[in-house]
Amino acid sequence: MVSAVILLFLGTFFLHNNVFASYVLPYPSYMPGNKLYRLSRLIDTFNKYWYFGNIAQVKYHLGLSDKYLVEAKTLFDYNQYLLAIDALHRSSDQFAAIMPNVLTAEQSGDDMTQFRSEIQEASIAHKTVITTLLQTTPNEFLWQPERASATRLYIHNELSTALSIQ
Amino acid sequence: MKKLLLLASYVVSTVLFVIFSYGFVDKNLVLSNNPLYLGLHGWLSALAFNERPLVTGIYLVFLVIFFVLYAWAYRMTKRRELRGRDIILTVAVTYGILVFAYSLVSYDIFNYMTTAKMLFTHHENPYIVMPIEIPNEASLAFTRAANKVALYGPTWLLLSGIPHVLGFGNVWLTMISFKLFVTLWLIGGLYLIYKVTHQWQAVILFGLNPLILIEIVVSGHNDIVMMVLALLGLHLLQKSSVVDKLIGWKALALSILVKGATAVLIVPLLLKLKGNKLYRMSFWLLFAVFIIFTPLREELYPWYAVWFFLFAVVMPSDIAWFEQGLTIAFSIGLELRNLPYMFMGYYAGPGPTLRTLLTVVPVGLYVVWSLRMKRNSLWNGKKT
Repeated sequence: MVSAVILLFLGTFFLHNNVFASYVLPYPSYMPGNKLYRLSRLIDTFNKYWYFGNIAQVKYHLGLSDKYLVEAKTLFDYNQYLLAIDALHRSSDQFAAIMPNVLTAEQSGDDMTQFRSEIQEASIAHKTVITTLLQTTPNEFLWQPERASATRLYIHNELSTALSIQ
Repeated sequence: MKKLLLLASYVVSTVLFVIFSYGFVDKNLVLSNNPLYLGLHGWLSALAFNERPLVTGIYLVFLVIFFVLYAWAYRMTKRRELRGRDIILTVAVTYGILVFAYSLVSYDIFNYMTTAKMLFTHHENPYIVMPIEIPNEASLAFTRAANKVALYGPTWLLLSGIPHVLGFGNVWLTMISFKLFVTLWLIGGLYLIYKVTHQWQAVILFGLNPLILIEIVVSGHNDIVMMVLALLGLHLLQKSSVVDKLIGWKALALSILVKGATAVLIVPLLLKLKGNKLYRMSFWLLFAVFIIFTPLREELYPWYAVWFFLFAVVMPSDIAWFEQGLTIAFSIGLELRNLPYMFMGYYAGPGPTLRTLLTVVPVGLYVVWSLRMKRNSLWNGKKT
């Protein structure tokens, strides 16, 4: 009994080193086709001005990067490859916009250690999603709309590029 | 002679109170490295944090003195022993001294200061970024509620830029600057009270009440900004000029954008009430928000009494004696709420029950007394 208590006591000091809160991606928001999708995108655009400041911009870009990645994944799951790649591009663009704000905040003297760690966790979560997509999607796909010319989609190339940005 | 004695009493008691208040300076906050200050602060701090029963007793004595002086000043004004000039001098001297006190019963001023710093120094949106998200921000050491985004509306947020700039980055100077800024609004409020009532009694009733002295001048709560804008709005909205009405609506809108509580004042305006009827309904609506909604959100904070207090004093005493008496009873009960924490050093345990009791007893006694007075006057009325 005593040894069990000692083990439990020591465990509280050592075991916690291996435990960390994993980064949680959001639920999918409005998807293309929904009446509120355009409004949601419009709000995303205006929010850029509301989220002024370097830290707020980090939160803004990270939030949108997550949101658009989840949108892309959902669209890939439903084989909506053209829309999915567009969402993937937007997610990558938003992710790429994070670090300049982190650097500017650091230059102005703000300690960004917590945010750097959060961005790293987000990057791991994003990579997991993209890697899964690489395994579940075709390498290429010929997107043939009913009344427009066909588009060849290099899905794996797009996913690999997105992976390299993370 | 009496006037001088009153003024001297205020000078002595407020100076002692200012010195006493510096015992409560947060242990993580060094306001000055001056050896004289450090020596005095060390002694006062030991008293404040180690001799809790004694320090609670001293605070209670200060409260009693402030209430006695308040009653005395009111009586002298009522008897016309204090004239306008004397009242201005007494109020100016009292505020002028108390503004230098340390905010000993509330930490909100540090929250104002840090929020302003987030916006005007870090250039971050305080509605998005919490102070705690900048771990190397020096003011985190003595700011409570740093794990929250801005709690106040844009009117206050923008106004807070003025005292923030005037603080020149020095914590003590910024604290005094915020208190001075809020006190100037209070003085504006006193002017407005006089403008509405033409009664110095009303000015004294509000301006020298110990709750106003402690919660506004000493603690620097922004509720006075919201209420002065609200009273200005209601006052102007009763005028016939379109320009006055326009400014009135703007003032009311700005007031709502300080804290939101004054949104209820739209109700009497929609009912097209005017004069004392407007002020009475405003009083009871804000009293209802205070008594019903604030405990649901957090608890009955003493400074919330400023909301209805201002409307109690702008009505004549002969028709609003109950409201004015109730407000004064609340001001006693609410200021006593600081005692349990001062005595125990923590909020939990018997704290909530004691705080409720300390508030309910003076208010309850006043309500019972006023009901008896009313019954007696009715009884006497029937007999005659």
